[in-house]
Amino acid sequence: MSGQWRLVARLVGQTTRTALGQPGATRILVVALIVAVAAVVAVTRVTDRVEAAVVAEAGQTLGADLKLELNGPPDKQQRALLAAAATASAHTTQLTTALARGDRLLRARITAVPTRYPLTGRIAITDASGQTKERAHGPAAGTLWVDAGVLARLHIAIGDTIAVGRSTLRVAARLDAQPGGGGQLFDTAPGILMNRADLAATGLAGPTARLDHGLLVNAPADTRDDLRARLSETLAPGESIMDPTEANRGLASAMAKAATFLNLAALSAVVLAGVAITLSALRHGVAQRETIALYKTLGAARGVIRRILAGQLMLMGIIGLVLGGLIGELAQRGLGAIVARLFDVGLPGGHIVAAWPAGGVVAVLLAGFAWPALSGVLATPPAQVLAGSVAPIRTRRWPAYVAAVAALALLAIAATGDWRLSLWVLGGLGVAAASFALVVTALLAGLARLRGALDTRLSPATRLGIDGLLRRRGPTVIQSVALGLGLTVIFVLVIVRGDLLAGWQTQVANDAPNRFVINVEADQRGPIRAFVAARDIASPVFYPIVRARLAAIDGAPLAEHPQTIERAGRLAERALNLSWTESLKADNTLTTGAWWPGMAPRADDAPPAMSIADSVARRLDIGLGDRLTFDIAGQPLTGEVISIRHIDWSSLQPNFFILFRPGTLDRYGESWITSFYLPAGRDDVMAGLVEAFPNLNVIDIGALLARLGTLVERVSLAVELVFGFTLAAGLVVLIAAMSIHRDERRREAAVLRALGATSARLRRAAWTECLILGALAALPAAFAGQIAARLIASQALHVAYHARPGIWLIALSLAVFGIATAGVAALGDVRRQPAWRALRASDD
Amino acid sequence: MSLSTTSAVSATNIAKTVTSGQQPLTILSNLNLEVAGGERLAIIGTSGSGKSTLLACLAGLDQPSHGDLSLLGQDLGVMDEDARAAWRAGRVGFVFQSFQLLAGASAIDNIALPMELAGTPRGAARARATELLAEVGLADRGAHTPRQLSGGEQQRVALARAFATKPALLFADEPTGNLDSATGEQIIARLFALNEAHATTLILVTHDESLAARCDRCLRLTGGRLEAAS
Repeated sequence: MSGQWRLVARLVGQTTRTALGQPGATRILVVALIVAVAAVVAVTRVTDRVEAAVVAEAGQTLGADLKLELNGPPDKQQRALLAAAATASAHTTQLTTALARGDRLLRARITAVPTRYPLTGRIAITDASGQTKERAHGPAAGTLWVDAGVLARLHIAIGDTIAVGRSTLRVAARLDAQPGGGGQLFDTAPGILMNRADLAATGLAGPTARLDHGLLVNAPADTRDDLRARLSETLAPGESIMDPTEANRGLASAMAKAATFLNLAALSAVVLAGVAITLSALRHGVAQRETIALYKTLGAARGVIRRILAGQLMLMGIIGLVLGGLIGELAQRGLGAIVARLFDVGLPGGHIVAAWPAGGVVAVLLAGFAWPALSGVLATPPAQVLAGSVAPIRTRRWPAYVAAVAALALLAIAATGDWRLSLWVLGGLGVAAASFALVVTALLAGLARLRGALDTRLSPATRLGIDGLLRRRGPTVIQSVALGLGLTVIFVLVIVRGDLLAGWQTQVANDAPNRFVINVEADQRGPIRAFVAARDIASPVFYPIVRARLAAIDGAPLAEHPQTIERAGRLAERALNLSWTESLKADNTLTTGAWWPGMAPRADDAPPAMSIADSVARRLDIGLGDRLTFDIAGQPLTGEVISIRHIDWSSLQPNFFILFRPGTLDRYGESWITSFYLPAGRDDVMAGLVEAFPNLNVIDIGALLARLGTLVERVSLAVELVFGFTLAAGLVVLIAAMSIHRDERRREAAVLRALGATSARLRRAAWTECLILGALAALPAAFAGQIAARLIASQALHVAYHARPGIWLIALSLAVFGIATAGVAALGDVRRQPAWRALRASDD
Repeated sequence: MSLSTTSAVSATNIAKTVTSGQQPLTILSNLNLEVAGGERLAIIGTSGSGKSTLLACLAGLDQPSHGDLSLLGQDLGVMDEDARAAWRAGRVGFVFQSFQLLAGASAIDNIALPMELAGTPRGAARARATELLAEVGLADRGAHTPRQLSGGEQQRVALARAFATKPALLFADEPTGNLDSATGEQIIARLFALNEAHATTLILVTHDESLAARCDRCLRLTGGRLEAAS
């Protein structure tokens, strides 16, 4: 290193140390960098680990080279194809049923598998001796492998027996992992593997039972594609074929969405940090002006000074990277654990290199935000070193800021992979900042008019305070906008989240049904009514269900509507429940069309009338008069939409997307569903019911809600952890904004003190000024927070939003008071010390 | 003191006008000045008379609005700010009213700074800084930062720094302005002693007429022009 570079390095170290040694802008700048880096490191590390988990899961997902999901057992044509081209195949049957042991009842998902299962991969089990083993086959006949949830919730141990339908089977091992076991985010039922040979004896696979058939197939790599194509041709509507990559798509997609969300949270922290960095870099620059003038006077060329300033930023960047990296690494461990529990997957450790975007973020923040603010002082005339003031430097910084915002946008798009979402967030912040500036300017104009009108009716201290703000209109606008942006984030995070959760909880009524019973056969309705009536449970209402798959829209097969299939998702892929009813239920509201009695007369050859849910109409892009064709166990049925309903799902009552008039579905086999409220401690009723009617499936909505509650809690924890950084960035913006012109305010206060203003008057003036400043920032922020809340509620969560005005009022008051307190505290030492010392200090 | 026949500073028809609000404000007007090598010149004037502006222009820290200026035979009018800074390094020294020491740097490092900026190797610069620190009576304070020094001690360090590059020209702007009279007297004594020892041309701006009277020549700045002080 040449002498010149060594000198620059030493000056960088000295000046940065000096700047960091005293409270002020430089420290704020470094803290903002630390927050941004920590957010980015935490999120990039976690998303990298999640991606690694998705890749690792892919091989384990299917348990075979191909998997078919079928409506029934493999047919003759499929069996022939397998005999000709497959090296191995296995037929599995999956059903959900209630297990009872004593008065404990558990809804479990049973997979009946042949002994040769899985075809690839292994099943991890723990036997009675506590040893963990890997098996390339399923449980022997007469035994079960059950997962930890079954053991815990039925209070049983390995070696115990449990009743499964009409059979009693022995639990031979705990099921730890099996192909296809992970990634079921909302699957609440624990899993059980049983031998296929035992299925018939349980009586659970009766004609009305809801069974999911799987066919695992292994085939040589060179004939696999051909076999897949041939098998695809045999599939009925609603059936599917997939390879491991496709099977993993659900998990990958859920995790990709989570990663996008985390990235956005980190991005908002970075943008706010950018605001704080700009504000503090401006002040850091101002503090450097005398030193820069001195360097120039002593003969330093502009290039040397540029290197010193850039070196200072680089040094701060390194400090930010190291400290932010450490904090981010700690945070990602916690976040990783939450994500792992949320998705029920093990997250690999990942590699620190994955956090490289943090380096990019630091570069963008420093080059895009700090440097334009700081580089203006390069133009400091050397003559400033002499006594006497120098006119402020005016440089055009906006081209650099435009470049910085563009760089941030690119960074955001790279991080989220979603340019629309990224631009929405950045654009939203930009629009909010511009709107805040306009509102604050207008409010200040109003304040000036009010000040003029009231004039001497105001106390001298109030006049002093208001005049202080009006004298610095430009800086006050900048300060209010920065404070407002930080506050908006805080409002949204702290209050809006609470509003949304409170709203969701109040929507669920206390006496809403908490047990659903499905799979009821027509002739079991009477006996079930009698059974529950004998146990003082209100007589339940039964609703018919006919299972069908959507086959065509307006006569065109579903395959010809690829965009609709994508939009409709599971609605187009899975079985639908059709039902009938004479009267409209109380939790249904007709939005378009007429209910059966009021509908227009129909021609004899017109298809049956049908009422659909508004969500179905939206997802299938259909309206009144459109026709849907269903496949009901191989028989087609076409219905015409004559009304569209809105369903209030929060009633937790059974409801149906598609309803026909009574009689329409008579010739198709139906099963029945009912629901009722079971008070706490009455689990014996359900146990008795399942014992008496083994084919019934009881769904414990209470447990489902509890599980959802846990999920919401975990998601909230993850959100809080990530948005903790955003919150921290918002607070740094607040501090940075409060520090602008702090020196000028201190000096003014000192002058006024020297001129005879009492401490009390100065204190009142400072409170007036800072309270108004707080209000200028908090009012637009509260308004923006409300808009954000309504957008989040209606666009992202699709729930009604009810603001709690009391909480908002308290938050608004706290924000105004908090800003005012911080502002007054910054001036406090000036008021306490003798004026001459304050004046001298501000001259130093 | 012997004066060189060549001119250290030559200013012809120097003017400086700044725009204050909408109104142009003339600070210096067709000012002419010749300073001989080795001369000690004092410029006095009331507050706001433009003394600091004149010093800034003469030292090449600021550019006059028009007029010709040469320092040590070099025409500064043809040089940009960077070139003027590079030219100053090693040729021109400064003493300021508010000392202008780097807060985070030790006394030795502050003195060595102009030498290092002029390209002197660090070892040599520190050795020379140590000598100069001894010359101003602060041999044992080399490692101290400005915060650990009194005002008078800081100004002595600033004096040592001003002479570090053995400049041919030294500009002093109210060097005693921030000091009490006794300390100010000591500083002036050292300034003149160093000036004598290094045969430097000194241009001193002050409002202290008794101090100005100790220089070889004294000019008063009035109405943007220089005239001989009575």
